[in-house]
Amino acid sequence: MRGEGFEQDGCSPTGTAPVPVGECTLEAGRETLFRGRNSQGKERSRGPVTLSHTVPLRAADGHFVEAVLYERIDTEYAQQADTDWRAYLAVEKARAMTEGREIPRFEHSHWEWEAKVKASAHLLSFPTLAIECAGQTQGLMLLQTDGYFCRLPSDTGKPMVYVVYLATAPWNLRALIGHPRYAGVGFVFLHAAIQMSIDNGFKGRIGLHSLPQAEAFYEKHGFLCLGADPEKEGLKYYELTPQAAHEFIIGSTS
Amino acid sequence: MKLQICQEWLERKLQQSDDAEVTAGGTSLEKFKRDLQQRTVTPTTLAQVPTELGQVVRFVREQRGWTTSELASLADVDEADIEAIETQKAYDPTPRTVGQLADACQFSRARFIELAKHRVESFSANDSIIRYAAKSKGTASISDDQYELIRALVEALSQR
Repeated sequence: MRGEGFEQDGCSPTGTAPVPVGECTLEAGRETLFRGRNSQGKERSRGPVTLSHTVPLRAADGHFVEAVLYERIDTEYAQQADTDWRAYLAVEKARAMTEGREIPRFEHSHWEWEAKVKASAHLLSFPTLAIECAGQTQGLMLLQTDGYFCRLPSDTGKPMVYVVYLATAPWNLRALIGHPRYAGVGFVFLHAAIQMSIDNGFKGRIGLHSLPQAEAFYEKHGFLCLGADPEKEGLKYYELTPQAAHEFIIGSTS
Repeated sequence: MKLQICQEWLERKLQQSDDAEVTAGGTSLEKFKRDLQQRTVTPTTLAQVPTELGQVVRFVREQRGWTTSELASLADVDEADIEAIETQKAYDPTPRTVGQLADACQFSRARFIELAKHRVESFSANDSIIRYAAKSKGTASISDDQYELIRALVEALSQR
């Protein structure tokens, strides 16, 4: 995903074939700043566009199902996810009220993915990835694949992929319904972020700011904490070294 | 992206721990938008750069969100060198600086060195790029076509 409009192993992000996604249409040849044009101003023909991957998730009944991971979504897709997630939360809140239960507050349910994607979709180094299953968005992740550098002493100054935002659909949160519909969204996304880092030549280095409820997860899976970051609302900042990234994804290809 | 994830892997991971609460964030929408605005490579930005070498460096820097000091540390060169390349018409960087910058920007070393030496005739088969690169010395604003040509120049440099 490095660079704008550069050719790369047959999965150029600037192709022209529309990729159907449920009822939405993903314009693979989105209006990026740098559409592939030759000096005569003609559209250059690109190879087939591979923007999606089949990934596993675990359904509530314990069975594993096939889901689709999209490498890049557009504003329309993000808007639909916002709508679905908000509608679900509204219903759950109303139900909790009538049952007299307390409902935890989920800050990231108000994250306005549509606005985030709208602001960044024209930049190839800011892809928003989505995992879709059973016709609905199970999670969204916005990455920064350029211009972010390691802070760990062992890798200081080396380029990395930064996970700007990562969220699972509200129906996949244990705290909200007790029985998440799908498990695995977090693992699959982090694997994808590591893969993006490897593909960019960053050796799997990734970094992120964790929300408090996820700190234990990151620490268990090899992320190193570099302390609370005053520039990011005091959230703890974590990095994954190339070694830890390798261990995270080891055995993922059957 | 070459992504392959098998069910067994996820099964093992989920046995180790639940991932239902995995989240990351911390950047406000306003801050995010501000950061992104600084990343757009505008024709006006490029027009301020007097040489083709400088424009190429500036383009890549803007595109990837690198400050001059970030690129300097990434390429292991002096920040003053990069500033001179982007602002001075007659600045002649050392071969080492040019080579290091080529590596940091993931350019073909040979092509970038040729560009630095203004030996553009052997640079590329694309005449229009060369003609533009040769005549583009500090105009007030560059046209869309010229912008597209600088972009194409960056792309050509990136094909190793």
